[in-house]
Amino acid sequence: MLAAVRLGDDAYGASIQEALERAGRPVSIATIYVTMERLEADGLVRSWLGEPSATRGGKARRHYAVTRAGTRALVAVRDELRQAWRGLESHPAIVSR
Amino acid sequence: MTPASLPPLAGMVVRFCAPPHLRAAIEGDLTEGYLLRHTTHGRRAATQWLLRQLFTMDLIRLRHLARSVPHAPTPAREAGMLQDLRFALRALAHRRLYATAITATLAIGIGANTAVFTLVNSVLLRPLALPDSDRLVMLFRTSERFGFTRSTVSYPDFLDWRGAPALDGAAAYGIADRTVTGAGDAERLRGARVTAGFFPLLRVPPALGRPIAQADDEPGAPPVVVLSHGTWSARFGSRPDIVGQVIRLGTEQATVIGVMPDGFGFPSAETAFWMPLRGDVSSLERDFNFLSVIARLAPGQTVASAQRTVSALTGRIDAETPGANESMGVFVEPRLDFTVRNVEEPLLIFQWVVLLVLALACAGVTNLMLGNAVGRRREMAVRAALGASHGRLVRQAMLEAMLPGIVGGILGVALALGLLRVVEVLGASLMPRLDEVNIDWRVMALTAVAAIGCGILCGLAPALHGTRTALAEALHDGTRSVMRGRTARGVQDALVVTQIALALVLLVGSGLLAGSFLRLTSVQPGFDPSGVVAGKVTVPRPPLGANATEAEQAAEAARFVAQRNDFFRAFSERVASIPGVEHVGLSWSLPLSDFWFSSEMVAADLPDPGRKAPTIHGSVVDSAYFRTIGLPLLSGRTFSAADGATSPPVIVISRSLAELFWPGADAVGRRVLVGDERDPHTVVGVVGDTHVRSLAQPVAPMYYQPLSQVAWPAEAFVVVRGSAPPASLVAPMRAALTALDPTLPLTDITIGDALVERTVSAPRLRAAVLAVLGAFAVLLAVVGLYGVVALGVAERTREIGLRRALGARDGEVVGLIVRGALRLAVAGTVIGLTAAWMLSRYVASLLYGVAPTDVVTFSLAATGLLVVTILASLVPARRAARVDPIDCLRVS
Repeated sequence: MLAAVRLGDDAYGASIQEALERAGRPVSIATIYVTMERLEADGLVRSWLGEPSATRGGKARRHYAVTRAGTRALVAVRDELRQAWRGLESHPAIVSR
Repeated sequence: MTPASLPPLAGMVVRFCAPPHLRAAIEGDLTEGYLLRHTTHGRRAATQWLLRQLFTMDLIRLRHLARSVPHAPTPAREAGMLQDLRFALRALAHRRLYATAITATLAIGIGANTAVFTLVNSVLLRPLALPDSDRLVMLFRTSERFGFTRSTVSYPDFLDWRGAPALDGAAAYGIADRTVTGAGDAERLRGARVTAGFFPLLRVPPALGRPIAQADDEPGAPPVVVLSHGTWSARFGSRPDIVGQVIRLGTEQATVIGVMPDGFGFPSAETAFWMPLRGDVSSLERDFNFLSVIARLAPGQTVASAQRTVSALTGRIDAETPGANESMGVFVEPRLDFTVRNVEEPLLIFQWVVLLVLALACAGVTNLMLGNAVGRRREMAVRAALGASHGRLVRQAMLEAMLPGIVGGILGVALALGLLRVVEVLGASLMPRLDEVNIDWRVMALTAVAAIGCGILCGLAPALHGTRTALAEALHDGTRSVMRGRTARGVQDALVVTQIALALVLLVGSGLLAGSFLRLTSVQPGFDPSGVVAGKVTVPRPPLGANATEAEQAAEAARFVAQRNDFFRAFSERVASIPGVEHVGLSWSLPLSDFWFSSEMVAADLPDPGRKAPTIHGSVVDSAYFRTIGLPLLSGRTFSAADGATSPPVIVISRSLAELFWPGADAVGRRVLVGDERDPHTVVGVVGDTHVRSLAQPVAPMYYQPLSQVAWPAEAFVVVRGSAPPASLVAPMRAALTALDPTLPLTDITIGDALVERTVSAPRLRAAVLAVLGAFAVLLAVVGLYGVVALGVAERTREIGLRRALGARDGEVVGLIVRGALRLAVAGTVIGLTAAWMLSRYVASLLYGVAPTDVVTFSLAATGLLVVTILASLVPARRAARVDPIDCLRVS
């Protein structure tokens, strides 16, 4: 989802995969679509078909964008994490990591 | 591949896996990704990337299917089946040791069953290789008094029985070995004298020429012979003009009238020729029982009805001819039953034994699968969370169970083929119909059922248990710990108890057989077989003219005896001069062989007319035989040159015979009456006892008559004892015989040790087979127990850690674990001992000198198994003792 936010209008299967790979989390195309289908079913992302292009063998892209609900969920997760991390940044166990 | 398109296969995978609304996008992504990597990393890396993408494409399909169930259309279901198969293969490939263990276990269980069932099927179940052979029966005389159920019958009996209304024809045959001379070396061939109806009764016409006709079977008819296919090709080079040729058979010139087709061998596969019986006057005596009778049941008749009619008929005849066949009955037996009578019981016992082994293998595999299913509960839970239905997971698990079953079945057939080769080599002399043994559709069908059945049987419980998981629990279970739940633990414990019980049954069985084999080999045969070699020589008896008077016959017989005695004396002298030969003796029969005769005998001077005369085994020997074969002379003397044809008849008896007639007294000088002879024989010596037919049978009373005084034997074994290896003496013995008479062959070459070997080979083979199966069973039981105990230790890591933290010592922890294992082992042992005790009487017929409920064997087997199981549980117990309390508390 974060990758989709980052990529903005350019978020589709191959580009999301490439972004995740660059971030050190390689996943397969199938995994991306499975995840996106579920997120879409939950109303967290929406998708639409783009124009076919020659570099893709004449196939269209399926673009994804995070919905409002999706953005809210992302922010909620971030806040929860922050809350959980509060005060731990300077904890000896973390610092000495 | 053109740069801008996917390979067709990739397109197919995508179309197969992805729902329509995603297909174009995914194909496009794959193309884009492929091209990108093609330019940056090269073609190889790009292809590898593409393959990785395609291999995971089924995730999409799974997700889609999970949403579309429960009413998936049939094609999708079939496709799902293929996918499940792929999953199963992948799951097994990941656990190679596990997959190999269960496949090999099932292969051994199924292979042993396939091999034994092939034997049961080919030897016991399949009809004989003769047309309508299920209607063929053997007719025997029986005698309660002499204790036999299958006696040969007389020619008059056969003539009477032939017309019985229950029978659709009958034929009689007897053994008639002949020496064939001319066209190559002299050769002793196994032949049969048969009545005219023989070939039509068996419904096998000759391949060449004609069968034996009624006219050939009349007394005085010109001699004719029908050859076997083997004799025709080996001895006469398959000459097409053989019919009509005259060949020399013993002292007769016989005209070849036919050749039987390839594969025909009756009464045995070795039968080389058939001659007409030409029943003459001497064969007309009603108590001269020398023929075997085979008959075909008339339509609508059964073995039982034939038994009734022939018995009634024989009862009337015996009443008319008192004294001939007193207290003798009739026994009608299907030919197949007669052929397999000696192997039926051992084969059926072994069929049960290998079924036990298969049950044990299944229990072991089920146990391994349960353990595996427990370990994979999280995987199953994840898949259920991804949308797989419970049915789908069960199906998946069942496929994983059935694959090893099917592969095990295929390997089992290969194993069975190997085992059957071993049986062919080791069992050649023990098993009839071995040449007919093969794996047919019946065996294949049963093996297939066994393979698939085992897969289902072993997989069902693990599949149901492994997939019926409390989802939340399994997913939230973040620790490494495994918990089986009460049912699974109970099932696994029960399986281990079953394994131990079955293994104990097999162990007791193999212990009993091994014990009887050891007893058997420690039996003293009564003579000294080592260093002895013997070969048989048959002196041809000149044919009597059909119209010879009694006086002429007597003169002819006397001439023959003199000529025979001279021949054997000359031959013995020649053999004695061979370097390395120390003693040479003559005997009509050898101990521990099938050649013997018996006569009724009474002590002439015992005033005991009311007593029944016992039947005693007898042989005809020369004086040097006792020393040569190593039979000790206990009192009196052996025969001497003075015991000639005209001197008073003498006899040597065995110790047990002397004890039977004159207990505690000296037998030398006493007199006995043999058979219906009028002149009593004087006992001149007493020798030691020997086992007559087999070491497993008790020593039997024996008597020995001097060859010089007995007219009827035409053949005798020349028995040689020397310092040279026995086998090396055969060639010089043959040379000595050829120098004396080139037309006579030396036959039935027997090495002394082989006589003993022959009677112990079957018990040894049985004991060895059962020992191997028993070892396999113990291994399975031990692995099963080890697995369960190890799993138990893993489950209780936390508890053990706590106990240790609270101060439990190593010994206490080990004791805790071993006690648990011991509980299972003791339960299995008690059940196994009870089962073995109930089942052991079924192997009683295979035992010698050991009771079926032998306490020593039972306790040794039980103790051995208990010790091994404790040792197996010690390994995980020691591991438990090493658990670091800190570690395990941290884990939880």
